[in-house]
Amino acid sequence: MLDVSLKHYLLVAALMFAAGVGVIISRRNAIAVLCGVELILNAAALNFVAFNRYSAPSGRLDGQVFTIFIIILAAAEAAIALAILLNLFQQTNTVDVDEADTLRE
Amino acid sequence: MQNSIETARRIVAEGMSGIIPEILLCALVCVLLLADLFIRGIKPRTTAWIAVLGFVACGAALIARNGVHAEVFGWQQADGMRGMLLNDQFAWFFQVFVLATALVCIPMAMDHAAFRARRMGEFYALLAAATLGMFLMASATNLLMAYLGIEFASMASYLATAYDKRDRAGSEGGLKYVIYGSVASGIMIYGLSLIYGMTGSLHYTDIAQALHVSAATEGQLLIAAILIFGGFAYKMAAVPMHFWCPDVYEGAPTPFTAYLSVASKAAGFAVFVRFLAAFTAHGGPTFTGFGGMEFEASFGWPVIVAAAAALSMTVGNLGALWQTNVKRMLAYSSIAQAGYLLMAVAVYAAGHDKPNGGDLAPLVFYFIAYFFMNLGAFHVISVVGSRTGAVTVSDFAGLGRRAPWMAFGLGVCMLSLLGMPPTGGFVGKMQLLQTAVENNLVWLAVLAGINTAISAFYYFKLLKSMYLEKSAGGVIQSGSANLAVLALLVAPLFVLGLAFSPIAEFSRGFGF
Repeated sequence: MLDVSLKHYLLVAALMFAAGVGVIISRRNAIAVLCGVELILNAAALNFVAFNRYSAPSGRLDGQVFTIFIIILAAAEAAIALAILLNLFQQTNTVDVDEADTLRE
Repeated sequence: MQNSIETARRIVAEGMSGIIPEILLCALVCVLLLADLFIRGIKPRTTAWIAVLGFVACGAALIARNGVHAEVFGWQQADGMRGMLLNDQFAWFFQVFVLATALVCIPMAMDHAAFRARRMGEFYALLAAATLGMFLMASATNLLMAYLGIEFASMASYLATAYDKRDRAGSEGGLKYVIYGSVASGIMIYGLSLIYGMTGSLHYTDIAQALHVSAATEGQLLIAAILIFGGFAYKMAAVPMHFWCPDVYEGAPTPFTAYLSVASKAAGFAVFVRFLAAFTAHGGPTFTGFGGMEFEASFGWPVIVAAAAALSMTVGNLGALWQTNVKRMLAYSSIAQAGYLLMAVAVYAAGHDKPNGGDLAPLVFYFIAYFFMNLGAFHVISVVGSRTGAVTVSDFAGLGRRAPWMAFGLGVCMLSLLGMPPTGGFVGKMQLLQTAVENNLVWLAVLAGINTAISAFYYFKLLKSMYLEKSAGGVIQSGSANLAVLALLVAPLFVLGLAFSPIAEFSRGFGF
């Protein structure tokens, strides 16, 4: 039976964080970039939950509460980003962040 | 169980009296949204006055809070109170600062051309919401509260940037803002999770104590610190998270650009300095690191901040040299200003536990000067831009003849941003340089001096365009209200430059 410890959670979270950063760097599609951000936020949320379970003083739920706020804020942020993106899409017909470049010297 | 619910109820009931200004802002947001929704044909002027009333009421409640030192929503621990927010003089200064900025932005928004023929309730609601977020940023002493404050202010700012839906530049600026912003906050939150893991707590005081005995190595702390600094640098518009700044400042409606460049930056500094204080408190634990050398808990912070300061001022000033759009030029200028301000933070981080170190007075004084010079500059840009339709440097040609008072005001603000006497920018910059030299950051002070010389090129480019270049354009009617606002913003710059000692004395009262 595999013994799951803090280390394993942290490893998964670190991989998820790295995957998120990779997506953000390599993809030019604004929606794909937002997916990458989502991965990073979930990596942080997993960290908080795991740390709360394994290394916080007993009886304290700071990490769990923080995770709930991360989930809520991620949803709010995605809603705002998509609203702005939709508005831009109606003007330009593209969601490619490199195409949105009229603001440049 | 019953007992803990009772405790929670008591904490909330007691906390409410500590957040009256915040509650008023919250009510203002609701009133503005409802008024916009339900009152048919409500005029932009009416909603603007509602916003002014709300902000003034909030200001009155805030003034009543002067001198208070209290943890809000706190619980008792063996060695004292722990709260979500800490109302102290430091928070008070930045809250007054942010509120004053929001108030100045209202007449600017009332005059803004693109805002005239549309409903404005939502814009003022977003302005109030961003202000509320920045209030929380200034007083947060808990990582959760700091994160919520940052996100709250950011989300309102994203929407206000893209407020003019028909304007392509605004939508594009808003998109870049929200994309960069969510990346920066995501990276920061990952860093915060690491800090939580190393210390087991979210409250700054507990973090400071836990770091004292923490088994975390200096390398682990450094990784977390760099990730977290990404998020703070984004709010301060400092290197390495400055990419968004020029596009957003250019795309956003000018009154909101002014708000972003002043209030948002100040709130970013406030939340960062508070966070930094947790790391440098108690003299700091020592780590045995590489080759048996001992490190303090503040470990890399003075170096990280000093490097960010050096890079911000250099990148900002070099970037500004090639700009033709004045809003974009001032965006780079504000990156450079963040660099000068970070210089004071680097001194603070290095000397927090030393007897004469940890002095925040130069930072506060420079922010007071920055308030007047940057808002003054954006006010002129907003007025001129609303009447000529464009804001490139060549559009300002002959402004000395077309709108003499506006040109004079912008000129004074430019000289102050550059740091020339007899303006407040000069005194502020001298204080920053002096503290840097006194605290063994001579190289940084020299770099700031070189940067000031570089910045003279672009500030004078605008002055030259206004006074030496001819233009066929006719006289610009600025309107008496706009001139009054300009006078209120420019006159204090001379006071700060000539009779600065009472204000320098005043700025000493806002440390921890």
